[in-house]
Amino acid sequence: MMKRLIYIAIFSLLLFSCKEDIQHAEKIDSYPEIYPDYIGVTIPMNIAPLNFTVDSSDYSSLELKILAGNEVAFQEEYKNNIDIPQSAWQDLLAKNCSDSIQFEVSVKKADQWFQYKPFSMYVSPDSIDYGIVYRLISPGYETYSKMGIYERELSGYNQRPLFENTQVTKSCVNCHTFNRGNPQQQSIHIRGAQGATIIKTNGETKILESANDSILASCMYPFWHPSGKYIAYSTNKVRQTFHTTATDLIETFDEASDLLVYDIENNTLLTSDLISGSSFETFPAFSADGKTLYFASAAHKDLPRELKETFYNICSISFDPETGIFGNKVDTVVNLAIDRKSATLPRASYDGKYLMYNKINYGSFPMYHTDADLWLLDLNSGETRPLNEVNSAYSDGYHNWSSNSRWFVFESRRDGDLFARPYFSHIDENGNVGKPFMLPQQNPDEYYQDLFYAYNTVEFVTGKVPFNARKVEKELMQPDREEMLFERK
Amino acid sequence: MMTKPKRIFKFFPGLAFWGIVVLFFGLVYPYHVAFHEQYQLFLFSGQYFIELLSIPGGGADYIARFLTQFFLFPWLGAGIIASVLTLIQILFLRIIRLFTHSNSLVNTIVSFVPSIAIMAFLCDENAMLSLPIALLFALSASLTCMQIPKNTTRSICGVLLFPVLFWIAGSASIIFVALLLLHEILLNQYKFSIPKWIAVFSVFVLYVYAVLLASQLLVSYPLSRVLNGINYYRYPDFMPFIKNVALLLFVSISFLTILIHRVIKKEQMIWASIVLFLLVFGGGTGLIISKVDTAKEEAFAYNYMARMHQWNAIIQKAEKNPPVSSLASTCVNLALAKTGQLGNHMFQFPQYDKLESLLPKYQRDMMTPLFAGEVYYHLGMVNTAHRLAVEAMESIPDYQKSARCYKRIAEVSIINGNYKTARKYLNVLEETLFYRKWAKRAETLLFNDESVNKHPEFGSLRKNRIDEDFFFNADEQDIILALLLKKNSTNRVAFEYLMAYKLLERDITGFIKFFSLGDGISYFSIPVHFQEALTVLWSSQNKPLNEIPWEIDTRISNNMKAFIAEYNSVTDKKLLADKFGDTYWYYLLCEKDNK
Repeated sequence: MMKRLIYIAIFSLLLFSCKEDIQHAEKIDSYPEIYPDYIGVTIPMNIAPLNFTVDSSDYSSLELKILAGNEVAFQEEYKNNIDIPQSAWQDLLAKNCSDSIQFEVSVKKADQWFQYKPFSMYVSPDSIDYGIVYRLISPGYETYSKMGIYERELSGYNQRPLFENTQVTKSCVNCHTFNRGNPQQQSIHIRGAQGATIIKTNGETKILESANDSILASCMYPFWHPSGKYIAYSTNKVRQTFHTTATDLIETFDEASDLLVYDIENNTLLTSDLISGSSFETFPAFSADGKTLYFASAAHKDLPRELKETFYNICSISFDPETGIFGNKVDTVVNLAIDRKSATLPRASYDGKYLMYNKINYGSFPMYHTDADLWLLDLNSGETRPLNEVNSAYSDGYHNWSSNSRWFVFESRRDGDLFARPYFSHIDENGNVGKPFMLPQQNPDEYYQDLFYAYNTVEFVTGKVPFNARKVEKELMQPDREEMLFERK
Repeated sequence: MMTKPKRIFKFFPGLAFWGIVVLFFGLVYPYHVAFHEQYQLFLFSGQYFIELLSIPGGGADYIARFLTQFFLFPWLGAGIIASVLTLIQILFLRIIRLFTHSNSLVNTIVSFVPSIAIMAFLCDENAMLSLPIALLFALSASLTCMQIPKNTTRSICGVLLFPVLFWIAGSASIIFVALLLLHEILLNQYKFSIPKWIAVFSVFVLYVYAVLLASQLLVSYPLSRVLNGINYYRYPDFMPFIKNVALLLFVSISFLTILIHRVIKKEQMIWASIVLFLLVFGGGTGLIISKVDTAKEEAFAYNYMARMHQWNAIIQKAEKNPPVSSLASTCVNLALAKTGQLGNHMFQFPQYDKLESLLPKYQRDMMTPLFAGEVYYHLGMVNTAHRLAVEAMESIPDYQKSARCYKRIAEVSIINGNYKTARKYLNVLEETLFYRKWAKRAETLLFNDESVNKHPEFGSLRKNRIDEDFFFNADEQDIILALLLKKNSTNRVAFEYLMAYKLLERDITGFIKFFSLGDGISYFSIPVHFQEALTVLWSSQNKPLNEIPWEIDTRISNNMKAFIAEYNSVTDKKLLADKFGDTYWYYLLCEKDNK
């Protein structure tokens, strides 16, 4: 008994002396360098714990204190990676909704504690969707190896494969999309000898052959019509060429491209001369009300010779969902060609307020352009501006809106390597955009360092995606494909 | 107790087989062995281990890949392959001894049959070591189970062990079930009638099928691939016939051996042994010879030597036996350029498909980009080398990564100053056995431009890079080579490639247009083939050779006169090959493009 008391006394003394140490920590007048950079970000109240590491190797331990108001809401000592328990985190976010929480980081170097300037995160009351669906692919050139489409819940770290290309040999899986994040309405492409376009809507599955003699190539870059009756596609003759200098390695371009709208019920691809002529049209997206089809368009050029002279604008054409008839004129919504720049990848917010797009120096593919930035067009005022709050010196693009239009996700190579990672940013009702945060992981440093796949085409989903990969595999192995009909209106 | 000579005799067959296999893979097929190593990236990391163990056969794959990393050294690889095959033979011998209750020579002889079949399987450069390792697991498990004396324990052990074995070794573990069933039938301690045995057999078939189906819940592979063995062969949609033959042999040979021991009398066994010996080793030798592909071995040899920068060894090899493929020829040209001899000796060796021997065009496979990538790297076109390393790696059909390609990506990233990317790849290489040291050294260069600039290889390649951005065009590589020279007028490899490019194109006008770009390179005398081209140009203008403005060796001008005289006198121009086959004139006028 006596022995035990002595142990307790020694332990208490040690603990006390440690606390004593940290209370006398030397203050550092700068924020800690943390990975990922979560300093000053706006986060949804239903996001997984934003764990991080301090970018320094010369400390023996570190301490995290989370302050809510003036109270210490969480305190823990770590060796390196800060790993906040999920229940404590959720509790913390729930209690501090619409408020900021402060993160106080201290590090111990050679028996001396140093305390960094506390940083904050703002907990937005706007919730984010259930999860995201994305493709993981090695950043390659023309060939590809293992890849898959995965679903990841955002309130935790669970990732599950929806379909991996080990299931159908030599296949390429891509262009997964959902109608405003609705997992019940999905479209996915599988390319290769057993390839098909799979469309699931209202519990019905269609296995389609999306290429035919009337169109340039297979249908790609799908975008659902809000009614769920149509899917807009472009059909592109995609080519690649390669730079000789170190900054940008790859250039992807369309030798030719047209737009199509697929009428699901009548199994017919609809188009008009205005969107399938000699000029390039790509990356279609419907407006919130489904009455306008936005797309990127450029005058026809001899590619790749004139690639650096190919400038896209964001254009639109009206669309009548009742009849499937396009309007008789194309409007230019964003004209960057006039400044010898390109505007591409239009994505209208579902609340009808904004149109987000990519600005790049030329061409239509932003992913390998270090100059790719996100821009926002206010559809009411017509005012357009760069999203300086989120843009980096690296490629930022392939954005998508959450179902409530309060969050957007985009891919960025700001880590400085070849691998694109998803970032999320908040936009409030007045159009104020928050600093983006990287997709959280249990141990982000280790996870992203070890991950040799890039995130590709990140889409929000409002719930778990019902996807029976084994059934799809069996269906793909069958030769039967429903041919899409074609109609020029 | 066994006497010493008897003990030696006991081990002799196995040892002799081991020696033959080592000699075969070490002398005849060393570069097939090394070929494997470049298409994998074995990591000493928990994540890598878990990733592999998450698929059926992953345990065997893990061990196979661990062993394959030693194939970087072909003799070591040959020793490993020989040891695995010999172990299979020893285990199988012990199994058939259990079946026949005999130590006869017949058993010893036939025990080599599956190992020989697997050796033939391994002669295919895409056959993976995973299959023989999986067989080792299956045979060891079979032997262990068979030696359990108690019937119930043995049966339970067999039933329970199969799913575990299946997960570790993959579908090759089906032979475990087959051998165990055969053992039980022979032992017949249950005194079952034939219909009962058929019922037992059916139950086992269903059980095996159920295990296979159950695996489908856990993996993203179709049933056919799981059944074929996910990683026994590099190409997922193909499996050589010999693999299934090898598996069948374990059961059929067991059955045959039992039959021989029951039918053939003891005094006739010696004759049976002689006949079997001749059949097994005669047939085995024939089988192996039929599987040997010397053309591939040659290409792999050049590829290995180019990778290891063994330029003189490449030239010596080509001098002994001229390369028979354009890929091999690519390596010879590179070796000549690296040693400053391309302009003097390139036409001593065959040049295939016009420019393909010089700068091979990209093809979507895992081989060609590796060959071509070496050339572009040494020229200073590091972005193209980067692309080809990525393309080669992404083309690996079983989706493995490549340590060789990771190294090249890291190298190019360092040269380009993309240090974050370089660090990512170096961190992985630090988890390997044979690239760790190099990666550690390379890491010291990161974020230190001065050190990179001073580095003997990276520094000079950084200096050679083109500043001007344009899109790579495989049909206009002469322009790219000229730009390389414009950037660094002392880039001798680029100059010799540019000249060789024009010579191979038979474009003398282009040759002379770019010839002055080599003014910055110090040559003792103008390289022989360049002199030959200059004499052609001069002669085509009907000017006397003694007025030629370049310093032409008298021997070359005399030789040219002799060539013209003989060229005009013979109708079959191929007759000039003996005397002038190593000259540019012969290539220009007599040789059709080799295909």
